[in-house]
Amino acid sequence: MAREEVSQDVYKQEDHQVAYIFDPDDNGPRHERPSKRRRVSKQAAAAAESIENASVFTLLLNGAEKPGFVQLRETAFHESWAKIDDRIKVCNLALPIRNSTHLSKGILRSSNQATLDQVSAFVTDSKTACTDQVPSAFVITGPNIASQDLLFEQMSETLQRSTPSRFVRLRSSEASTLKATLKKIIRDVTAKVSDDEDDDLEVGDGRDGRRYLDYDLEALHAFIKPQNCEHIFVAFQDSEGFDSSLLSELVVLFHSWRPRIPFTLLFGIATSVELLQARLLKSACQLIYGAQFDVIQTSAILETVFKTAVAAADAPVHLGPSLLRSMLDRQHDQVSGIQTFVMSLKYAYMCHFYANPLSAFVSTDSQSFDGLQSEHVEATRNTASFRYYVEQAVEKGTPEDISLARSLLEDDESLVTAMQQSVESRQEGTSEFLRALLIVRATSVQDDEFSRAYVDAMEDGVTISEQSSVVDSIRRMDITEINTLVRRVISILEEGDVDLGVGPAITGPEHAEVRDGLEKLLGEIEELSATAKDQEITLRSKYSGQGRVMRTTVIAQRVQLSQDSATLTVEDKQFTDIVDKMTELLISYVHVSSPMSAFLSESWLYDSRTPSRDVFVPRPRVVLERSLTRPYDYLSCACCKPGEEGVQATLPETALLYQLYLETSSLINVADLWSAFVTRVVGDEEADERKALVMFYRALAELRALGFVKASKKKTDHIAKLKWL
Amino acid sequence: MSELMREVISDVRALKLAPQKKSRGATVRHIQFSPARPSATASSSLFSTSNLVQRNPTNSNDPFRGPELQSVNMPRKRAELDVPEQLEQPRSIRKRSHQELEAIPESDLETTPTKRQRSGRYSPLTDDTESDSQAQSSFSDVIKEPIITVTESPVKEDDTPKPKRRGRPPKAKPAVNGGDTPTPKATRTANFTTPTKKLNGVNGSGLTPMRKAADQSAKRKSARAFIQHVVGDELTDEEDNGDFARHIIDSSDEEEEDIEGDGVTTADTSAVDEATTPSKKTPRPRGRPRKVRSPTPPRDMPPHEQYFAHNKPGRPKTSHNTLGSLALLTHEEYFTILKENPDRHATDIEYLESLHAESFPQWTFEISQGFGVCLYGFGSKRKLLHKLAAHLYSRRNTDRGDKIVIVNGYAHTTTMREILSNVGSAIDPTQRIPLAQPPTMVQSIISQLATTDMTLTLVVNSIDAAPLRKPGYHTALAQLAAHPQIQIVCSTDTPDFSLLWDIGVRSAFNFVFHDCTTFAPYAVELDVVDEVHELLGRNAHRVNGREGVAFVLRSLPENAKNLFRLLVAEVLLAMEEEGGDETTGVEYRMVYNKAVEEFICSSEMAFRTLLKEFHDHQIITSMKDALGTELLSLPFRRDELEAIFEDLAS
Repeated sequence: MAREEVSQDVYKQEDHQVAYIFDPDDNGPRHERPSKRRRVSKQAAAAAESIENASVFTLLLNGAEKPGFVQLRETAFHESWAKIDDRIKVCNLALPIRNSTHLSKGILRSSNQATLDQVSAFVTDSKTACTDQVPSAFVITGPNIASQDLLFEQMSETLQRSTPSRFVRLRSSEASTLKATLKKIIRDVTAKVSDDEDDDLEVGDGRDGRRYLDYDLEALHAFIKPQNCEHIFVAFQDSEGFDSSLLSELVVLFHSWRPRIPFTLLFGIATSVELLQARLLKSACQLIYGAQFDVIQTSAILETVFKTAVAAADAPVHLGPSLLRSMLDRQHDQVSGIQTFVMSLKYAYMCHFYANPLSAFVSTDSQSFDGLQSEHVEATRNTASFRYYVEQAVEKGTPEDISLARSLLEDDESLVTAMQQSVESRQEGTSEFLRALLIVRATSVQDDEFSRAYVDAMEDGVTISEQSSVVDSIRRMDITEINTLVRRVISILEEGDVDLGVGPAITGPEHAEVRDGLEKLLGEIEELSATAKDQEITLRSKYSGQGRVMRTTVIAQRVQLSQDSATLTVEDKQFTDIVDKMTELLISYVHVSSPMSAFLSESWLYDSRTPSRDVFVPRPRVVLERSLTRPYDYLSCACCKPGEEGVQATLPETALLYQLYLETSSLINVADLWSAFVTRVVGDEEADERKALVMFYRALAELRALGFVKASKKKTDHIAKLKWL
Repeated sequence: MSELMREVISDVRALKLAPQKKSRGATVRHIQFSPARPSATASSSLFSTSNLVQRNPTNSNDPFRGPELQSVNMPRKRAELDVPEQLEQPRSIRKRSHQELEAIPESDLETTPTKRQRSGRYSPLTDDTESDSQAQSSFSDVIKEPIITVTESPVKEDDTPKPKRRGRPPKAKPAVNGGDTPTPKATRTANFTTPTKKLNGVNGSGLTPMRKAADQSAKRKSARAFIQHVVGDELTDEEDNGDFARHIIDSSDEEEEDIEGDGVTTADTSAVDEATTPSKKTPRPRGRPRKVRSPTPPRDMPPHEQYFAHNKPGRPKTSHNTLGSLALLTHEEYFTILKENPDRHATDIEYLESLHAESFPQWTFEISQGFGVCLYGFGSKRKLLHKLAAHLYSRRNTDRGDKIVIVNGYAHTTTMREILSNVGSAIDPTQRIPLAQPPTMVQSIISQLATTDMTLTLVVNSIDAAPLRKPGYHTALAQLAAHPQIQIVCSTDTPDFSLLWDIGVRSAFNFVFHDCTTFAPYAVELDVVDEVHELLGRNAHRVNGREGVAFVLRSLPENAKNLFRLLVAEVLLAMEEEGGDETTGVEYRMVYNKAVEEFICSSEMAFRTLLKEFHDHQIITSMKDALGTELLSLPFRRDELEAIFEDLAS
């Protein structure tokens, strides 16, 4: 039956059409199609019924999830992502974003603005500054050519807006020869006004009615003369891709035309100007009046995005360390743009809301807990964080805790209350975590990127102990540094961090305690530093290196080494006290475990690396190899047994042929391949052989289509092997 | 190194061709000579076959066992090896070498037969390159072969010029064996003499077969081996060196596999030399495992290793079989059989597809969120995509006029213009997008889209198919896909599809990838029969061989027929000369001249007209060689050509 369908499909006309508009309702010649469509559409209709207005989300919890929750998840997704989406835009909202549909473009747009301004300034300056050279702007875009396009698009907009000018963007793939390049330049300049599609170019006024060859710059000259054009910008988007001699020739040519046509060049450079210069002829270089511009690199933008969208305390979904690490690594290893990062982030959000029934609790409004299904409660009891929570309660051992644990396990009501509490307190928890992280970073022990520090902290939590490097670095500080540190910590506590969405620490008595302590400390510090200033002494604590003196005493012909703390002045002692207090305060205060361990963190924390990796970093070779060597992995058919040695005749023909293919060397005799194949497949009946031949044909054709073999002329009936998977 | 190899190969080839016949002649001649020899030797050499078999009972059972016994004589082998080499040298040198030979005590000569026997083995062995079973049979040949060669040694003693010529065949041996063609004289003589002297001590100078048989006794053998072991220490080192070099050579060419069989004998001998007893109890010589090398390389090599293993320099070693005897499939037969025989896995494939279909909601979600969906993996994904399109269609927003455009990348006629104009007409059927360069068309499509708020879904089958691989196509598609109102779903077939996209294009597509291995046959995507015929170099679109040509010629004037006959004849001749089976061209000028000579045509104009007719029917092809000379050739294989010629001549 399936076969019949296939063979009918074969003769359908539209399958061989290049492109057509899909419309299954228009069933003229096709008859078997409607049934199939109906099946699909019925399914969809059923889904639509249950989820009311055709949500793409499916029912989870083995289908027991109520449509209401499905919708809750979906709206939660849209809301959450819109929030992050906006935030990514808002944090860069210095400028009007024209094309706001693509958020990532928004970021880049704004981040490019500085460069754009500089370039326009340069262009204006160059008019006066250089007379006999070609002004050229070298824009260092970095290796990510994905963002180059956008940059040059913006440049073209900005520059054409500011001055009457024309802008031509060249890509190395389009400009292979001098002639082709000139053609493109002339065509692009002229086409923007007139949409003529003549083969040879007819320019302008018609007074002389002269026709030009389409690569004659004279035509361009004639074209722009009446238009009062101040600049013709020629942008080499990927200057590395151009042939060096072509570039040199172009520069020389543009220079020679410059008195008549006001060329200005723009080079997009991924590497460095020096490399470009080395590639150009010296004579060409001399004709260039240039300036270098740096575009904000992706890494800088990444940090901003990371802070505002990933790490922020009020981010609807937080990502776990392993996923984040892989995302950052990918960003670092493969030179992919910020778009990729944002898209990975979005995909994580999508996965979270699509596949996690508990994600419905992300939205803080308590409505999500109304009509909570017993499945939800059951699912919650199965989470790791629940188990941890209960275990902790049991470990504490007090009667209240024990009873709490019992009620959590047995009583749905109290569990729901606990869930509600945890959802409410979640932001406070993450704020706490971030505050601690910020304090640690304020001591500037970690001078690496925030993103990395965040990921590490996510994994291990943030704690300051007597042994940690934070304490050491505090002890090494002098009075002014301590002063700034204390002020910084106080500001963190009082104001929080805007980027990270951390508010002031007001709740809880311990915050007030710490703050008071710090403020008292600050008073002492200021007092002390004032005295020190008066007396013009430098303060030393007992921890600072100079404070220790090595003494050598010779007693009875023996050398005794003793380390004596240099006598500390009263002020020094005071300072030491301050340092000690400071470290004590921090040690007692900064003690936050990772938010991953919080109860119900599963509902707002996504940390699954596999979907993202599978989807963004496909491994087609591995997949293909697996499907051909072990088809039963996919087919799970009865005939082909896994683990059986050798080539099984029941394998799909292409897989069978692939096995034989593996044994061949670089040149394959098809006749031998065929005889090997036929002996594997059949006995020696004639009819069977023809059937085997059909299989052989199909397998061979498919191997060829997959790029495994190609025709070879070395010998008759031989083919060449192309792939070693 | 490579030079050496070439030398070796050419030597082996020489061996392949020459020696067998020659040596057979030698046997005959030998019979004439033998009376001059002491009868004992004569008989010994005449019966050497049987002797051999008897003496080495193991030989017949297990050919690989042979070397063990022979190995006893190993040290002398070197000495012996040098002889043929010198024989080849100019006469004066040969004489001297002969004097050297005579300087060797008789015992050495006594042992020569066994030696010879081994060298004789080369010739038959080199012929088989194939399987173990063949190797087995050739080993039995070996046992017969020695008769021929063995005879030489007595002859040598005679110092008649003829046998020296006969000495030539084994000449290849030193090159092959040692890998070091010209051994420095000093070492050579050293090798030459030392062991023999010792042997002298053991064997005495007895030449009788009895004596020889006695020498085979285990006791003596062990004693001899022991002495050799003591003496041969210095030798073994050298052996090993030679061994090493030879192994390098061997590994570079499979053709020498068989030779290696012999080579290992040397390795074995050196091993046995060291062993105290050459009896069966001796542990297997250490060189042994290297010898058993299957024709297929080990299977568990990583791909890159395999690549290098398969792309070793040297001629590819494939058989000369062709598909000549096999009647190739026609389209009709292919489809008939296909229809009659349902796929064994049809249900499994169906099930697999239904599994994939379960992800439709997820994919729809991804598409709706601005991602492109790319399905990869083995098997046709056309049906699946069609279903997905239906799924999307059922969920589309009709109010906004959402449309789905399906593109078949595999269709041979696919061009970007057609795709884009289809996309354009999907957006607004009333407005046709002017045909222009793809980038311009993309611009106008985008500006058209701006006037509506529809969502357009592009479903591209086989986005990595050859017709879509042209430069600029993917950029245009990516530009479309990057537009927020356009969604893209596509399938890819090849494992290397991601190489099609640079980072810019890829981030514009914004793909999420899904493994969609379906195992479904590429029924529509591939024209299987044509595809295979193209692969085999049989042009699929041409008139069919002999009948086709006859058909074409029937409708052409007599002159045309004559010209075609002339052409076929010339091409056949050229093929004969070049000896290849490949398409061979003949010079346009030459054919024209001949045609004029035979009054087929009078002017070049007429000649061209005739050729054009052929060309239109694709029964000739023209090409230019490296010098720019125009060549005419016929796109048929030799046997076909011959058949055509017969038809024409009759």
